[in-house]
This record gives sequence, structure tokens and C-alpha cells, in this order.
Amino acid sequence: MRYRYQFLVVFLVSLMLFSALYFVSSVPRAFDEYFALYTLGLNGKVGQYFPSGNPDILPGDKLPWSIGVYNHMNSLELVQIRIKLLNLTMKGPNQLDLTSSPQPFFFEETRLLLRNETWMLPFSWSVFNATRTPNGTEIHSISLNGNPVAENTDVPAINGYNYRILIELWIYDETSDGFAFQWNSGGVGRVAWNQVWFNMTRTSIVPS
Amino acid sequence: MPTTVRDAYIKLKTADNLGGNVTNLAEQFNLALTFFGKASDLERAGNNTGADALTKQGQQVIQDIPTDAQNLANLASSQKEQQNRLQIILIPIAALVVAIAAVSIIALRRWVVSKQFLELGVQPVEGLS
Repeated sequence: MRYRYQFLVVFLVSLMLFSALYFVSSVPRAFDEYFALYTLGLNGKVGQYFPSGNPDILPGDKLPWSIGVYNHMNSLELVQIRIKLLNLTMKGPNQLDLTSSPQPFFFEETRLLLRNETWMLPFSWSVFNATRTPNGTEIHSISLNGNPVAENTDVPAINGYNYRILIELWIYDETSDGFAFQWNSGGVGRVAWNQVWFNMTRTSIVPS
Repeated sequence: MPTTVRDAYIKLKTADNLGGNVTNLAEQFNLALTFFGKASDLERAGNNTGADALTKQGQQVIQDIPTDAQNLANLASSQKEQQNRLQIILIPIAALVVAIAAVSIIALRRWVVSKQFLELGVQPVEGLS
């Protein structure tokens, strides 16, 4: 009888405490949502993009790269990697207005990524066919994972300098039912892209 | 995007958001995407027969995903509901256990103190006349 008051106080305090704990644990925590996109060179390492050590490549020089995408969006996502061949003057992606390069891609690959999943895409390539022009070099086709690709690969470069392989990450947007270059994280638009520069100045390519 | 792929993706995302384990279904989905990708390559190369065969294979792989994902979503949803209900029941039970334990400790302490007090003997204080 004399413990009734103490029992009631302890019970009510515990009830409030456990309810508060339950409430706090059920509130979703702030989550930094992002995708990570990276390009790796020989043996899956940063650097060594050109096994000979020279970014001035020749047709047939094999470049065993791989591309990684990490999904930290707190949900599963359908992503697409688009790879483009550009020269110095072609417009690349714009980080400020969040637009992609207007150049068409020569390769795309789509994959569903679980939350916190990393996808490694092997991207072993070489220039398959290129010719000399009065102004420099023109690449016509690329060998990609052993298969020649000639679509959207006709790219000239003055004196063969400043070619670039551009890798863009596109995300499936349910609202527009299409892939979009940008995604939203905390109300802010974000984009992810990489590029690796190379030259093709040497004369052992087929003269046109 | 083809309707089947879009439908499968949306159902998978819903199931995942509800806490369902969609790992196996995601693997199937990616397998179907591989078939569709190879079919596009063959179509571009002019091999329409091969492209059709691969597209059919992809569709076979993906066709059951929406239903399976929906079942997974329903299961995850009911499990989540059950877990919530259990947690709500457990809160007053835990509070009750804590209150009983606390009051028992207080009562036990009082009993020990009173017992010690009762065991004290009365002894004359030396030096007092």
C-alpha cells in the first residue's frame, strides 16, 4: 500500500522514457544522398590509365579501364553509364547548369543498383580505326571489350591533341519515364561525370 | 523504357522501401537488362532474328518480377506492422517490469535497514553515572 505512489511514479517515468526512445528510433535520420562515379586504370587502380605511361596512344593500344558507380541514395536506383568520345572544342557537361554533353554516346550500359551497392563495369578499349587528316587525326571507330564500335565515334582533333573519353552517369526518373543526367539530393541538383584526356599524334596510323 | 521494365522497377523499389529483401529479384532484373542490351546490339548489327530471341528471353526473365516484388512488398509491410504492434505492446510491459523491479529494490532495502535496526542491542554507555 505504501509503495503504490513510488510504483506509479517509476512506471510513468519509464513509460515516458521508453515511448520517447521508440519515437526517436522510428524517426528517419538525415541521410546524405549521393552517387559516386569513378574511373580506374590498370588493375583497378587510380592512375595507370595508359599502361605504356604515355597518354599519346596508337591504334590498338589496349586501355584496360573499369568504371565504378556507388549508390548511396538510400533506395535502389536504376542507373545508366553513357560513354562519349570528344575533342577539345566539343561541349562537355556543365556542372553549373547541370547539363550533359550534347554529343551522342557510343556506349551505354544500364543496371539496377541496390542501396549501398557498388557496380564495377569493365571498360577495356582501344582505338580501332583512325586516319591522318591535313589538320591532324580523325578517330573513326573504337574497339570496346573486344567489339568494334563505329557509331558516334567519328571525332577529329587538331594535330591529334586533346581527345577525351567522357563518362556520364544518368539516373532513371520515374516522373518523366526516362533517364536524366541530374538527380536531387536534399533539394539540390547534382550530376556525376568523369573524363580522361589522351592524344593521338603519332604517325603510325593509316593515312587517309 | 518498355512498360514491363518500368513496372518491374517501380514494384521492386516499393518492396525495397518497405524493407523487403529484393537482392534476388534485382539480380533477375539485371539479367533481363543484359538480354535487352545484347538484343539492341544485335539489332544495330542487323541481326533481327537474334535480337528477337534475346528480347523474348529478357521478357521471360522479367515477366514474373512485378508479381514477386508485390508479394515481397506485402510480406514486408505486414512484418513491419507486426513489429510496430509488438513494440507498442512491449513499451508498457518494459515500464511495468522496471517499476516492479524499482519498488522491489526499495522494499528490500527498507526491510534490510529495519532488520539491522531491530538487531541492534542496548548497551550501557561507559562513563555515564
